[in-house]
Order: sequence, then structure tokens, then C-alpha cells
Amino acid sequence: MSDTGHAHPNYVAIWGWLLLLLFISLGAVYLPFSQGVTVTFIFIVAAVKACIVATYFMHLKFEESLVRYIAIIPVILFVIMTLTLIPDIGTR
Amino acid sequence: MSEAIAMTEHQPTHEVKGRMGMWWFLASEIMTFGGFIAIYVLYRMASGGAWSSMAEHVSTLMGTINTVVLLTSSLTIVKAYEAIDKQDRKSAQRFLLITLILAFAFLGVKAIEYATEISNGYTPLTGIFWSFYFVMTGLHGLHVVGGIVAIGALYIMAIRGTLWNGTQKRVEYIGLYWHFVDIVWIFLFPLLYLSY
Amino acid sequence: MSEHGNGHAEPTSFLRKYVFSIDHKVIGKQYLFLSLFMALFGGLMAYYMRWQLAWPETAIPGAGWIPEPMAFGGIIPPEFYNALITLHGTIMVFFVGMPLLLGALGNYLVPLMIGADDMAFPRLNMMSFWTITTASLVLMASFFVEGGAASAGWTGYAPLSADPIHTGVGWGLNLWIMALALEFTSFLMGGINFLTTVVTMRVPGMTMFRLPLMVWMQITAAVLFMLSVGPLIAGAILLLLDRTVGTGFFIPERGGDPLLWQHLFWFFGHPEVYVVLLPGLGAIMEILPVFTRRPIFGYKTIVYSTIVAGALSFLVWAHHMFVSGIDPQIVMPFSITTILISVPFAVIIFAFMASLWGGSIRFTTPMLFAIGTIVTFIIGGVTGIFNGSAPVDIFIHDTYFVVAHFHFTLFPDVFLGGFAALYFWFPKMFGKMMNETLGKVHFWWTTITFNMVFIPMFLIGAGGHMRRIYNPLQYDFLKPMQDINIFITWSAVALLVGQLVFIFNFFWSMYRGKKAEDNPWEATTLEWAAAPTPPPHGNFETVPTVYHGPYEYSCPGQETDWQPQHVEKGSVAA
Ligand SMILES: [Cu+2]
Repeated sequence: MSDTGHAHPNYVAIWGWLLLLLFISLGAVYLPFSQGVTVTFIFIVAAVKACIVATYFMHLKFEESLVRYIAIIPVILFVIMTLTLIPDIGTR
Repeated sequence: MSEAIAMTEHQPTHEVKGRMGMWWFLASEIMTFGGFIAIYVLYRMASGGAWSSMAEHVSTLMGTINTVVLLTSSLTIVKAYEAIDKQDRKSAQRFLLITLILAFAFLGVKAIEYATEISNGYTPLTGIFWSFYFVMTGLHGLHVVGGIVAIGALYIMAIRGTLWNGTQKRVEYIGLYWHFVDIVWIFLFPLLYLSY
Repeated sequence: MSEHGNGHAEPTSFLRKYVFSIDHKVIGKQYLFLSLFMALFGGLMAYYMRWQLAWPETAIPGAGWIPEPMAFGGIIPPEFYNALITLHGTIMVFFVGMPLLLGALGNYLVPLMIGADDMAFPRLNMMSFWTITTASLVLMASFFVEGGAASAGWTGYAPLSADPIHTGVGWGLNLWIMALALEFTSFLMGGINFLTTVVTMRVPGMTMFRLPLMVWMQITAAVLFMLSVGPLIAGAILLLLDRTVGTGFFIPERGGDPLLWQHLFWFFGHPEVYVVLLPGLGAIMEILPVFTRRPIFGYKTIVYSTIVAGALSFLVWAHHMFVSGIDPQIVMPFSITTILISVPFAVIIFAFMASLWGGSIRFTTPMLFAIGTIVTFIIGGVTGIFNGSAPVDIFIHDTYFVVAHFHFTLFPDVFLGGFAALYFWFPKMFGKMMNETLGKVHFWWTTITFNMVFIPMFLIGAGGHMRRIYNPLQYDFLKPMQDINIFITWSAVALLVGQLVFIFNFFWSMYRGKKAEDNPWEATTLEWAAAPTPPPHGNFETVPTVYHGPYEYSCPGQETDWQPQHVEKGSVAA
């Protein structure tokens, strides 16, 4: 029995999903969409992959809310920083 | 927040402290890598597509192989943690070893990549895309090296039998770090290898 | 006792006890001495700069020892003047303010105030101190390398800092970047430690809203630092590569963007001023209730205001860049957020004033310094609104008005607040009382001379006197203001000399001072009420249990007018 008090999900299945997503984003590069669409798509896939790793491998799903805040707030912050800098640096 | 606050009603365990400390550390790491990614994205936007001709010359195949390697090592270290949770010392030790081998494999592939690129004339000074490429993968590589040191120490402890009196919880914290290194790569891969 | 928390054994050897100690109290004192030592350098640099501004290119008394090519017979050349302004800023913010308010006060007080026996990670704590010590050595060593020390200002703006051809400074600036990187590492280690300690090691009954406000200020500061420094670390690595490898991240000719450095620096820089500010205000928040003998006004309001100010501090950074050529679209939003951020601070200041209102004030030295901090800080805060609104800023940007403004915020916070804290906690730290008469002399001398230095700076700044210039007499329109410059310099000399009173009092009291009781100020928080003076290894004889908030003064129906946090109401005070 586990002594951490939370269950272990089926890690191998999660790994399978991650690989599947990897190959989806690889395949997307060869589809005849515009660069903007492709880039948006592969970054959404990357974000989903990162969320899966964080949720299951890093067991954020089973963590108290404080730990979730510690993980999410920096992400929000640097996204805000990037968006704010677009008019100044990104479209110079 | 309830668990952490409830913890103060009795002795704080090393486990709670270790995990909490690791998460605060990762928060600062997110901001550092986030900073790099932000700078890269902004510069790339500003370049107006001029980088694509440079980005074509990275090896998507090598990058893909390394992504698979790193994703798999994330699996093996979480399996090591699961095994420790279930008091299965033998498979914990085995999973640590596999993680270690995969981490070395990642660095090996990376070294081949660097060697090929440099011999083809693509160095950090070839252009700003290549500067970013070498800085970001280099810094990520240093994090992999750090992971190897930590996981190697855990593995040596496992062989010596000293990993089991409370210290086995370290597999969880080092695992958190290792998954973070994996997540960074999940973003570096499309940023550097897929968006040409 | 030794089983509580970390349970590390008490060390016996000299080296383990005083040098490589893992006891948070020893580490706190180590930080204290480091910061005071670095403050001497920062002050000395200020003196050299002031002399040069008053009597340009004359031999400075007391500068004859500086070897060539830094100075020539006590006369400093422009290159060295630029190094002085750079290192004065860097030292005062990163090597005095942070080690004093976070390193020394945070380390010493946080575990004691929450009832813990030590930090969560004592060894990491020791490493953080030795990392900043290394950083200090690297910084001081940078004076002696070829080309001299960093001279691109404490903000290190690119492309001035990105290529040695602009300043002629080679390794000096590289070492400056490395010293800052080490300093950041040190405080990241410290921040992780503080936060983990407060989250996991509070004693039974010490809920988040029973924490002394100093602890709230320390953890908010730790979070702000941790979340803001990352992008600057990324930028610093890129800057170092620009200088050493030859990449062009911040060099326009090679495809880089120098403006980005300013963004990264101030994305960190504005939260950073709150990192330094909050623990100083935290000290005031501890001192006010003790010497007014009544609870602080609006505990929760102060906590929430601090959190709001902390969150907003990530959204104001471009107010430092109104004249740098940023996109006009983002000027107005940043002006608005900057004006907004004064609201939570105004709330905190009003809470302070309401705390003083009607209290039976005991005018001890720490209390005088606390009131002095509040009064001077108000001037600093109000003048910040001028800088924050873009139209005014365009006029006063890069003048002495700005210099006066930020000295009016940081000096009261770091020095007046720091002195308040030292006079207040000195008895706990060293087991002796400091001399009150000397303390009061020190207070009046410091506050009056400080105002004599910096109020005239507002005037010459409004008159157009630029900051960071070597010789004001080169400009005809500045010549009429030279008498004010001379007045400022004499005042600054008086301010610096006055600190000898403190140094004497500090060391004299340490050996000859009156022995301090466990709770000489009759305070309620755990470090005074529950721990012996000075606290032993492990801090408390028994693990205290907390029954109520931190500022229970003048409770009706009690024998004494203070109710320690660990003593239940109605029971006899211990
Ligand atoms: Cu600011």
C-alpha cells in the first residue's frame, strides 16, 4: 500500500498519450496549413503535454491548492510579461 | 492550502518540507526559463520570418529522438517513485538506473547534434537564431547534467542500501525537478525544431 | 527539544559555531555584519562622489590612498566616478539593503516569531550566506582588474554594458554580472527557505492570521523576489555572453534589442524595491504596537494591502522607461498602474497613523526611528507620484529629483527602518541594551542631516540638474546651483560622520551595555515573550502553543497591559 495517501495513476498509459501527442505535432508540420495555424497548433499541443506531465507525473492533481498556485502563478506572470512586451519588442 | 496548514498541528515531516522547497525552487526556475522563452518569442516575432531560413538547419530527427528519450525518462523516474511508495526496493533501483542511462543518452544525442552543427558552420555566432539555440539548449543541457548528478547520487545510495530510512523521499523531489526539465524540453522542441 | 523540527545537535567547535554555522541566529548575525561592513564602503563611495560634485576635480581628503589609475593623488577621473555611482547603487541595494533587512532580520526573526527551532533547510541557509559573501568578494575584486570596475550604472543599461568598447571596462563588468548572479542565487536559496519554513514549521495555534506582520512582510518579499528575478537572470546570462562570446542579444548591429534589457531589468527592479521595502515596514509594524501599547490598526487590511501592492508591482515596471523610446501605447497603462499602486501603500501608512492615534507612546530610540521612517517615507512616496505620471516624468527624468525621490524611499526604509530594528532587537540578539542617550542623539542627527542632503536635491533636480554627471561646472545653467551642491556635500559629510555614534554605541553596548532581560520592551510576540535572551540553540525551552494574535496590548481585565501570544487569556502571565 502506498504511504503517501494518494493513488498512482497508470503512468505507462500517460506516457503513451504523451508520445501520441508528440507525433501529432510532428505530423502537423507536414500538413498544408499556413505557418500561423501550424505554429499555434503545435504550441497548443506542447501546452497540453506540459499540463499532462505536471498533472500526473508531478502529481499536481493530488496536491494541495497552495502547490498548484506556486506552479501556476509564475506561468501566468511570464505570459503577461511576454504579451505586454509585444508592442515594444515583438513588433519593432 | 489546508494540508500545509494542518501540518503545523504536529511535527512537520521532512517530506512536506522537501516537496514544498522543491516547488518554490521550480517556481523560480519557471520564471528563468520563461524569461528565455519570452525573449526568444519576442525577437522571433520582431524578425518577421527572417529566422526560418536559419531554423531549417536544425535536425528535427535528433530533436524528436531526444524528446522521446526525455519523455521516457520522466516515465521511469515516476515509476521509481511509485516503486518506492510500494516498498519495492528492487524495481526502484532498476528504474533509477534506466533513468540515468536515458539522461546520458539525451546528452549523447545532443553532443552529436552540436558536433554536426558546428562542423557545418553553425556556431553561436552564426546568427541570432543560432545564439538562442545554443544558449537555450545549453542551459537545458546543464540542467540535465544537474539531474544526472542528483539521480546518480540516489542510485549510488540505492546500491549501498542507504536510500531507505526516510531518505527515499528524495526520489520524489528529484523526480519533480526531472519532470520540470522534461517540460522545458517540451517547449524548446517546437520552439527550436518545429517552427521553421 | 532537539527532536522538534530539524533536531540538529548543538555544535561545539569554533568553526561550526561561529563560521560555518547552520543556526539561523548565527547566520542572521553574519548577514548583519556583512551588510554593515558593505554599508561602510557604500557610504565612503557616496562621500567621494559628493566631494567631486561640490569641488570638481580637486584632491579629495581621504582619497589619497586610492591607487592609480582609479585616482591620481586623490583626484578622481571620470571613469572612476562612473564606477563609483555604479558600485554605490549596487552595494546599497543588493549588498546592504537585502542582507540587512532580509538576510539579517529575516533569518534571525522568522523562526523565532513562528516558534520554530530553526529554518526548514539549515544547510541551505548557511550556503546562502557564503554565496553572498563570495559575491561581495567578487564585487570588490572587480575594482582591481584591468579596465576598472563596472561603470554602466547600477541598472547596467545595454548597449553601454553589452560591449566593452563603450566604457573601456572589460572584466570589471563581467565580474559585476557574476557578483549579481551569485547574490540572486543566495537570495533565491534564502527565499525558498523562508517560504518553506513559514508554510511548514509554525507551532500549534500559529495560524496565518496570527503571524506577526514582520513574517508576512518577509514572505511577501520572498515571493516577489522569486517571481521577478528569473527573467533578469536570463537577461544577465545573455548580457554576459554578449560581452564574452560575442553574441548580439542586446547589440542592435548584430540583430539584438537594447531596450529589452531595460524591460527585463525593471520587470525585476520594481518588485525588487518592494523586496527591500516590505521587511523595513515590517520592522515598523512590530515596533509601533509595542511602544504605543495598543494593537496595530487594521492587521488584515495591512496584509491584504501588501498582497495587492505585491501583485501590482509586476505591472508598473515601464514607469522607469518613459523617455527610453518605448511604444507610446503602453505609457498610459503603466502610468495608471503606477498611480494605483500608491493606494495600498497609502492604506498602510494610514494604518500606521491610526495606530499612533491615542496611544500612550513610549518615545524610546526604536520608536523614534520608526516614526522617523514613516514621516520621511511619506515624502518619498508622494514624490513618486510625480515620477509615475508620464508627462511630469519626461521633465524630471534622469535629474536629481529622481535621485532625491528614491533616496527618500530607500534611505528611511533601509537605514532608518534598519536602525529602528537594530535598536529594537539588539537586546534579543546580543543580550545587552543599547545606550538610549546615544541612540537619541543618533536619531536626531541622522534624520536632520538626511533631510538636509536630500531636500535640496529635489530643488536642483527640478532646476534641471542631471544625475550621473561628473562635473556640474561644465554646464553654465548649473553654475548658479553650485552653492546648493556644496551645501548638500557638507550635509552628507555630517550625515556620514554621525554614523560613528551608532558604530560606537553598537560595539560599546555589545560589551559594556546593561544586561537585557528576556522581554525588556514588554512585547507579546514569541521571540520576546517565549524565548530566553539570548535564545539558546533550538530557541525555546518548550515548544510554545499560540492562543491569539500578535498584538494583544491593553486588554481589559488583565493584570498586565500585554498578553503574550503563547499565554492563554485569563491565565497568569508568565
Ligand atoms: Cu518602479
